[in-house]
Amino acid sequence: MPSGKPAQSELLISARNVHKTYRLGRILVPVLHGVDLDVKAGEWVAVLGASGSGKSTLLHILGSLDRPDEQDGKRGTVSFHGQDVHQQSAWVQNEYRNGKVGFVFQFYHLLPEMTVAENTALAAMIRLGRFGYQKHHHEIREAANTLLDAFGLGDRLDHRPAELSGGERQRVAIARALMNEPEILLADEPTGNLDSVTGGQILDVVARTHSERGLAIVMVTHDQTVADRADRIVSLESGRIV
Amino acid sequence: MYHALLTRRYLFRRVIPLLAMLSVALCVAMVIIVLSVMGGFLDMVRVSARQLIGDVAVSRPIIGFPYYEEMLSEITALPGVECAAPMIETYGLVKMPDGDVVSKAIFGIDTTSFSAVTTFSDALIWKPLSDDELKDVDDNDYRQPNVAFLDWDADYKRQMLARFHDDALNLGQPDAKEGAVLGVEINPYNQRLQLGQYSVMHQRYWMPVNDITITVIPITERGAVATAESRKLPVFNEFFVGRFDVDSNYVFVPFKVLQSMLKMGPAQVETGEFERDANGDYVRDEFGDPIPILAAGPGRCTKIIIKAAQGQSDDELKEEVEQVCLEVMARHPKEIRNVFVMTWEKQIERYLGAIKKETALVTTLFSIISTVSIFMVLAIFWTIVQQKTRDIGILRAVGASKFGVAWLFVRFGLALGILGAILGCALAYVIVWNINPIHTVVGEITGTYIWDPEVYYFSELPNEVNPTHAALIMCGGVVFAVLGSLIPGMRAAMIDPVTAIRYE
Repeated sequence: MPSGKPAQSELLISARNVHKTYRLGRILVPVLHGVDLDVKAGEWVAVLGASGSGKSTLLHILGSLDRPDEQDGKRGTVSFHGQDVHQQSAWVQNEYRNGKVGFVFQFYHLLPEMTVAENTALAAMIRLGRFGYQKHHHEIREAANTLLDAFGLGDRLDHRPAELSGGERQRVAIARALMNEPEILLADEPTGNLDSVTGGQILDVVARTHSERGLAIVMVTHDQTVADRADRIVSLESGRIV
Repeated sequence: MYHALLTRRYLFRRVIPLLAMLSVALCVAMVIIVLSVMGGFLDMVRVSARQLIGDVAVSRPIIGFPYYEEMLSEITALPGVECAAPMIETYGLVKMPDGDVVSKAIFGIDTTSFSAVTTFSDALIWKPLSDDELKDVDDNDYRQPNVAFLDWDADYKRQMLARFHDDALNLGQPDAKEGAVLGVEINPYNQRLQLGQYSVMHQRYWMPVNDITITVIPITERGAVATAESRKLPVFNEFFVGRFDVDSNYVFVPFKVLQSMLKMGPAQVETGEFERDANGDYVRDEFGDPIPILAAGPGRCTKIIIKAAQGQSDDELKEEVEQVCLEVMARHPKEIRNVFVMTWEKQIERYLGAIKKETALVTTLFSIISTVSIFMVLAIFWTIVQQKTRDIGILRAVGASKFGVAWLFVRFGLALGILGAILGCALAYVIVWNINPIHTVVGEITGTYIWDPEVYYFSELPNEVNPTHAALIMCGGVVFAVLGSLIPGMRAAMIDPVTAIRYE
């Protein structure tokens, strides 16, 4: 596992002229209007914005869950280490989501049929495939257990998400996001569904991860106090960085 | 790896997939049961037909053919022949002990030769049973020493049963008593016991202590009808071969008795001359043909049934027998005008063909009906995909490919199909093996017996499963489940991950 905070000089991810419009029936709803955003390696950026400002959409596009629209015949770009993510094949984009990026969602999004340990190991299962996972089963299990232990969930390995509190679920979600040692964590209102105390604890976990692993973080939030924990804050208003 | 894990969890943690599995299981079970019963029925017809009519037969129905003894000895001498027996077939009226008169097929046989070709002697019911055999018969069976019958004690009953058996085995032998052996379903007072044996509702109507009167109509070689002949005969025994049309229709009497009654005995042969009246004109029968003058000559039979030697093909044997017949006919061109030589399969070709078509039709229909499992699986998987939309989004966010998501559901369908097929096959085996008791119980409860022996000829439903057929049907069930899961799987793969993540 990487440790220590890397120098924040190398540009890790860069969004340029990102537009996105959704269609609701016959109505077109513009969400992003030419967003530009640079995130350096090891940098924690908070994207602050009101509800409906396009924060989550930006995060999905950065993580290649969604793609930018064309505007005036040109499509916006998201480059990761200088490579345009959305120009890559579907296979490469899958690997990008699996190994380079870790998602954390507001509503945790754990698979209810899997245990805490299995949810945490999910990204590794996808990365290694059936035979690879069987071969490295013990190492994966150990890595997942170590992560969960570090997050205070060592005694909850075989529990199901339904048996956990909100804070515990979010910690499992963070552990899952870190399983494949990504370079950037994309967190969508990670404390939005938690009370202030639990939310604070989650932010502590995120901060610790950021500092210990040198992980770049893009965290979208509408909460100024949450955003204040970041190295840098950018505001998103009506689909534009201001 | 997550495919295997999620498949296992999806399969056993929710009721809906189990319903899809059940639909596959029921469809697989349904087709196996139908094919086992109908296919078994076809096999039973084949086996029982062959057991009763030999492998090859020479026949000329109703009128019969002479010089059969000469033909018989030459046929028996063929290397491909194990044994052969002459017989006479006709239809007649049978007056039963209770006064009813019924029309039945009357067969003149010599038990010794007939039993050598067929399994007739094994089919006789009334005989003393060994201690081993007694263990497996119903407590109400008269053959049980402790079951009271008339005022006979156990020893006397055993003696009488032995006599009934011996008399039936000697049917048609020189110096043997004259009597008859009836199919067990002819006597309306006979009732089938739970274990398949027979008893009689009123002891005085038990056939072996009664007589019947048979009436037959002789027909000359030219087809003229002569005066009906009746003969009262004691019943020696009854038989059960398991084919309802035989058990309810066949009456066996001594060969010589029927030959004599039908005027087919040695005295009845045409001289080539015709009867004339006082004016010297021909006396004519009802068809306007001159009536031939008959003189002492060889007797006639209507059929010779032949059992092939081990390893002899029926078709080859038929050709050899045809050659013998042609030679005998060449020696007696006037007397033997025509005979037919047929294999057992040819004899029942139309009947067998109809059953084959019925089997194919029913199996096809049920196979088509079972395709409903595709739509059941499709509908259930469609619902599952709907319910699991957010899971799909999560998997895509963590790096799962579209193919991986589709495979998750197709694999799920495959697992469900395999388990459903195994369950269905097991269910089918249990039902088919116990189909006769189940049929009886359902019949007793509902008052309706689906398998009517009068329609299907056999007293019992076939209860064997062909493992090859079962395996093929199981594969079909698995394929149907996979087909049913394909469209939902593809739909799952095409779901936009952002929409899926936000799905409420």
